[in-house]
Amino acid sequence: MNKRENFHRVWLVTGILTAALAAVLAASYVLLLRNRSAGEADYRSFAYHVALISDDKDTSFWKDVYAGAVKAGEGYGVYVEQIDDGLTERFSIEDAINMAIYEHVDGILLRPAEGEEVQRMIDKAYRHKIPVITMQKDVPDSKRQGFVGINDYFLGQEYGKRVLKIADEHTRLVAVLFPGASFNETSRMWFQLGLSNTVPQEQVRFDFRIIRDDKGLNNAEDVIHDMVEGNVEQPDIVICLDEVITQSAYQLVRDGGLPDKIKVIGSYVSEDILKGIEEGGIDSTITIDPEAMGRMGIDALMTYKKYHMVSYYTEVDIMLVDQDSAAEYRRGSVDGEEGQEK
Amino acid sequence: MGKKDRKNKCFFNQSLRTKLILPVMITMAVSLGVNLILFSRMNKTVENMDQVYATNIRLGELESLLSEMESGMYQYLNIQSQEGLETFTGNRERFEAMIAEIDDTITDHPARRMERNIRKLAISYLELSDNAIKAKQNHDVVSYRDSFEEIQKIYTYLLAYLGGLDTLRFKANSENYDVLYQYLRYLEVFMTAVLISVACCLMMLLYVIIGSFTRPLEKLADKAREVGKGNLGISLDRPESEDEVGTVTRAFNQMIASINDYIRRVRESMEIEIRMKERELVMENLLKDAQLKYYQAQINPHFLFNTLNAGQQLAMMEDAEKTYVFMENMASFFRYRLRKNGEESTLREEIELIDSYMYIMNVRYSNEIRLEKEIAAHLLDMRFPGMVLQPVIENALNHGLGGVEWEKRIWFFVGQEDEAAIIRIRDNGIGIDKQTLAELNAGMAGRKEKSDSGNGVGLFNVRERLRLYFERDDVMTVESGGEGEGALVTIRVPVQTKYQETEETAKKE
Repeated sequence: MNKRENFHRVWLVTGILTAALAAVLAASYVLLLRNRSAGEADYRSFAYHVALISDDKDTSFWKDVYAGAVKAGEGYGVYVEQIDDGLTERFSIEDAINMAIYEHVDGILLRPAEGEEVQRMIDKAYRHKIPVITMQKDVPDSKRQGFVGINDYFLGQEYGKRVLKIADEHTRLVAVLFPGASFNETSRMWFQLGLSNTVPQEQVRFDFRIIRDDKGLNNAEDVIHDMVEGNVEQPDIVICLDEVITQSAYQLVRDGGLPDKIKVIGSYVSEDILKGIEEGGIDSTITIDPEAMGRMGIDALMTYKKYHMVSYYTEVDIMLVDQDSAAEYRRGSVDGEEGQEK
Repeated sequence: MGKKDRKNKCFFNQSLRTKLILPVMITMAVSLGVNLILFSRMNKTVENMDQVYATNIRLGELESLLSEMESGMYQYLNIQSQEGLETFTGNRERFEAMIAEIDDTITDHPARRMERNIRKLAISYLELSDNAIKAKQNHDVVSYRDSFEEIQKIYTYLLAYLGGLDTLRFKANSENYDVLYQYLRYLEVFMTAVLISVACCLMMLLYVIIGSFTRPLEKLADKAREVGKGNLGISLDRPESEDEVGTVTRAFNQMIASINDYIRRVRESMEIEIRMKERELVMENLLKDAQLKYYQAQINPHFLFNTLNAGQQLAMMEDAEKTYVFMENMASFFRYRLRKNGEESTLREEIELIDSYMYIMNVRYSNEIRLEKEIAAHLLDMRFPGMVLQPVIENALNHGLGGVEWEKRIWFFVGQEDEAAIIRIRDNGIGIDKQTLAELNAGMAGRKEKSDSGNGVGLFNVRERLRLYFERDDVMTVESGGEGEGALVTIRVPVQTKYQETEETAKKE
């Protein structure tokens, strides 16, 4: 072996050492990056603190509303907080509003529950100079600054239009299932009015039923079961006015083998409902765009913060998803989710 | 590349110790560096993780302060216990200070968000408590009852948030633990891999470096073994590096070269010695040959000199001057011959001998022979072998001028041409036939001469002695124009005076 070969060998080994060192550094850098993901820098600070309060924040509908609000809030420097998020205890809507008041938030987005107490709390917030925007359901007699959602009369009309479209000469009875928690008497009245004004009464009869919420469970299953089994008169069309009732109806109608006889018009779009529409178990679903509602809520609140006034009623678009538009909706929602992740 | 080569050369020229220690140190440094980096990264990661859900507030203390304040407030409002009020006010300050420390920035940081909510609720709690105490002091029963109700609610909210924060922290800690555990597992594998690869690299490096000096050593050992077997003619390799091995290799090469040189010189001097001994032997032989011939003709020198002296005295007494001179010449001729036979002499003495000889011969041949001399005087002291020129003259008298009828003449010339002394002896005798001439010039005439002339030392003997004395071959030529044209003997030798020789010896020394 001569000197030159020795040089080459030494350089080869030195090269390997250097490469190994580089690899180690690169690997440890990656390691650091991976563990930094939860670092301090990933959190932002905001100028405003807005509370989002709802009874059914676990439903995917409300999660979409929250996502829409958060996204819109970023533009205004608003941090949107689901008020008792991260707490082991669950507080009532009234307590949540109370908490928000004592936390001195800059505004409250509220999907109110039934009852006087909510109205009282809205008024208390008003006394503490905290603007409240109701969403989806209104408390018109309170001192809330605005309402974002759809008028029950218009909602009734939308359902009426769909009923007219799918009704044939054999259609005699349409059952309407109101969730008692979100449709109070006034709401029901306006909805019935909108519906019956759209659908001529002489052709079709309506059977209005209220689904009662009992300690987290409702009696939707019993009511629908009776209908499917023919214990009561079997309806040709069932209008379900919330997500859970829609899913129950779809389940029972499908289990009873009656999708051809009983058509289900549901509310809201979830993965199960979308599947039901695609399979034909659910005729269609009528929903307000939850993200748009969240966004409009924040818009309304910030408009109030800026001008100290806002329109009392902001209408959120309603959309109908049927078998034809299901695929398009799915695609759109997937795109939307991807967009959010980015 | 040039730079690298230089660097490499530098490395290869380091001592063995450096060569061994350097790579070990480098690899150790690398692995140490890697370890340090990894541990510092790990420390940072742990710090980072700690920071994620780190909270500035001491939840336990806050909670106990809060409950003490709450119970004091309850006692004061319910039974107007002054002790309760003191408990409240006593804890209030500390509680407020702790609350003030909490960051008021609105953030989506999970823990900070809750802390801020706690801060806000606590401020409301304190405000309402102050109001309630004032109302109680003013006996405004409705007002303090309302306030107390609200205070109770906020107290519940606060407890809920404190609990939530505690849960969050616990959750975060357990998540951190999971992450850290995984990180440690990963680190374990990673470090093992790093250590193994560093060890492999070190081994390779050492293999190459140790190889770089053991290989020349092995070669050197092979060469030494060869030398041990007596083979000194091995090819020598240049040293590969400037380290100790290089030094040893160089020294070994030098030693072999020195031994070879020494052997060569010994051989040369031995050859010279042998050659000289050979020459001496030949010279001795020739001399012995010549002496033998003289001894055959020799009469007892003492008797001869005594006789000659007696003759000289007789001649003086009889006033026979010519006889006296003749006797004297005879005596000096024989004395010289006896004395210088085979010894070194000078040209002058040689010429004196010729003169004596010619005198005797002219007496004998009644002045028939004429000798003409032309001599460069500066050459007279030149060193010259004894008894060389007289035999040539004798040869010319005996063979060339032996039976000629015309005037017998001999020309004797000594001169210098360039660095050579030229001695020419010419006669106008019968000359030499071509065959004999050729034999004489080729140095073959010795035997024939020997047989021809009983007493003559002969030209062969003369040539050989000149050749041996001056250590060259072309010392003598014999020429002849043919029969009746006479002969010419030319002796060409380097000029060597005594003075010159002394100088040369001095120079050599």
